[in-house]
Amino acid sequence: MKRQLLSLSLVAVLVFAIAMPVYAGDDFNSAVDRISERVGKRPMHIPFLGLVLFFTPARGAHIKLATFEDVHASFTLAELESSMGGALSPEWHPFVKVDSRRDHECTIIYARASGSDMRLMVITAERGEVTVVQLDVPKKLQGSWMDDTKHRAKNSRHGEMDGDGDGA
Amino acid sequence: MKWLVRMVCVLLLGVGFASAQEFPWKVNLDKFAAESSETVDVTLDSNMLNLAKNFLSDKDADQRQARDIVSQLKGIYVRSYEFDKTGVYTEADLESMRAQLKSPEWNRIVGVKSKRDGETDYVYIRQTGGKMTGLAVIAAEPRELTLVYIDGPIDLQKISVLGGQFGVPRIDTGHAKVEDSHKGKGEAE
Repeated sequence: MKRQLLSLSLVAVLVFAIAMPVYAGDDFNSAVDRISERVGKRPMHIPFLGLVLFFTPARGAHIKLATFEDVHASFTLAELESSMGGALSPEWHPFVKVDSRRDHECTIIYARASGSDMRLMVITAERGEVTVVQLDVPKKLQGSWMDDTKHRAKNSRHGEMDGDGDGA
Repeated sequence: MKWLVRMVCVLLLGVGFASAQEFPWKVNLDKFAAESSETVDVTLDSNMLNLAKNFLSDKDADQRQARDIVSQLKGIYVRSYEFDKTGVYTEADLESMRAQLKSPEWNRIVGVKSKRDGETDYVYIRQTGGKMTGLAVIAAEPRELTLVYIDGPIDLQKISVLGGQFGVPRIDTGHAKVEDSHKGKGEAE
């Protein structure tokens, strides 16, 4: 009985130790909550999203996605940035900000280290819709991205790409 | 604009990510942002540069060299503004920016003015102790203004290793071309 109790305690401690950092570091939920407060609604439920992603090459990226549709509130880039101010931990660096007044769309891309990998969070607000995506870019995926672009660069040199050079 | 997207990709993937730091110009960029229909702001501080280094493998010789370049950079900053009308920035604004990149620290290596397209491009390098320690680009079109600043040692010979990688076409950056641009041949001023 004593041994069982000890094992159970050990398991509980392990689960707690594993779960705590995950919960504490879950800035995605904080970001989503902050936007929920601002727009007054919860994100749309996308059925079987996890299952669908599992069968795509993106399964290693641990993608989290939240979409708010039919949003009546609008965001400027400054509002979006200030909304995220208290929601995300200081490790997140907003390194790309795009503000299109023409299209009423603004995007902020945050990045942070996640071990030796990179974690990205992309927040886009456009007319009637806000999307939050978080994904990990593990070494393996980085490698495949690099290989792919390298291949595209070679094609570009041989004039096999389309006219604008952006590739397919 | 496509060249800007490509450049951003290069910065992200090849050269890396930098601390919220300032451009070498003391200019009120907010006024351009306020008047622009599209604004792109890329700020890659040293933390981000370190992070981006992870993209580059130690095993591949070219990538290792690219990694060396990234390791030494302090920051990369891009601001691009697109306007719905002309005249948002003036020649005086450009002149003010150019005037702040003074010699002997800063030297202009490229100056292009196209009357046909109304486009003006300037590339400046900063030299400290005989080494290139910074690069600044001012690219102005009637409805577009782009400013780029790379802070840190840049070796034009080494940077050529980025060609053929990350979607960047191979670029010939031989000494002759650099010297030519110093002389300001062709369309250059």
